[in-house]
Amino acid sequence: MNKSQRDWLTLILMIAGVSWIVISRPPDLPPVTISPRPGFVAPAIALPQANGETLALSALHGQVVIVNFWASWCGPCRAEMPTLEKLYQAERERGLTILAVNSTVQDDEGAVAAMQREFGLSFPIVFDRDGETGQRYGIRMLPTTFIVDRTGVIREVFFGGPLSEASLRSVIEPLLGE
Amino acid sequence: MLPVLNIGPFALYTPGLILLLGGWLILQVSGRAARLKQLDGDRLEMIVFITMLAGVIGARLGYALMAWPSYVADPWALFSRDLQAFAPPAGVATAIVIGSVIFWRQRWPLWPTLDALAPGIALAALTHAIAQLASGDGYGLPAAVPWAINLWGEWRHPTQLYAALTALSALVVWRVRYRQSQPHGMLFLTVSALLAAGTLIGEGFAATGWLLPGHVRGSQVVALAILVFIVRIWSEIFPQHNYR
Repeated sequence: MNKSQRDWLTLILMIAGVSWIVISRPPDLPPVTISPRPGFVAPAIALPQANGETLALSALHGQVVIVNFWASWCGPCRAEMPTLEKLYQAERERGLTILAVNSTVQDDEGAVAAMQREFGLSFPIVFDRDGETGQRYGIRMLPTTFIVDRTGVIREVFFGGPLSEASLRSVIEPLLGE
Repeated sequence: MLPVLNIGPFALYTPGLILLLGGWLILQVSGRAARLKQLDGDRLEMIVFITMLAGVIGARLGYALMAWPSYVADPWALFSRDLQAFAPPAGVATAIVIGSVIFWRQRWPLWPTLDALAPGIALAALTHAIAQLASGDGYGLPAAVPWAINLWGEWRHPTQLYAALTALSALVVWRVRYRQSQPHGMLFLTVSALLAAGTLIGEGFAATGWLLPGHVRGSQVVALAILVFIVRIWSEIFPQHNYR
């Protein structure tokens, strides 16, 4: 390859490459598909609380919601509860809510109440008694935590735990500012 | 997609397992490739191991830097078990810098060393693609092509498979050519050019990724820059292949 051939090849490569990059730019469309994935609208949640009242995720629209799937027997779930409570207390005024979805299908409501008292949990806890919500969210590991923005779109998913406050804050801080 | 693998009472994060397995294979392949190039395979394996470790640390530090107020308030979180708290680009950059410094200080010959690292680089790309296929990350734009896969509620381009095929073809080319007599560096540049070309084309169908202003994908820009760079230096470093 001589210098002239090399220059021509570079030019052709640049034109073709830049054209492809411009043509293939992703469309700037708001997410409409419902799926338990970052970038998608969060699947619906409407579950009963201990007092019998149903709480829906849609009722929390406009707030940043940490949806935490957990069970009282799960060590990492227990370990991260104080962090979630601390974060809730510190940021609820800025529009942060925690929706703790207990996997009741594999847990005991008495144990949940005991754990709520033990850790002084003040955020809403709902009971997934038939496991249907967990299935809709594709839960295969406890805890699994979804960060939902003010428009109802999932922005991050954390598999496993216990989550550190820093990890959670690194995601929710920009969302609270939106 | 299988982000979590349940074995009895244990739930394992599948992409993490794939990355571990990929890391081990990269070590093995790098050592063997180095011996074929008459280089010290054991030492190269050790350097690649240190480089990968530096990459993991760099990825965690990079993640912490992006959210530094949170980590300043809670420095112990740097050592937390959060599997998502990593910034892969920062990890790759750290690994490249640390690896380069070690090779430079130990006076390894540039092009033979890069040739020995070529299959490891292709294997790293393959590992990344398979890990993304397992986690469901790096998914494609909605598509109506016959080979589209149903993912996250829509038929989509299987971009993870495009990336895996690119990496596999680079590995096949390396496998076919590694025993052939050729100038030092040609194997590395060939593998790199294939990976860059595949990324430039395949990422054009991706729905996720790092976006620059104007909705331009950063990965495609980097891939094009690498391709142009390879074309520019090819005739400089392989003068015997000049037809003039």
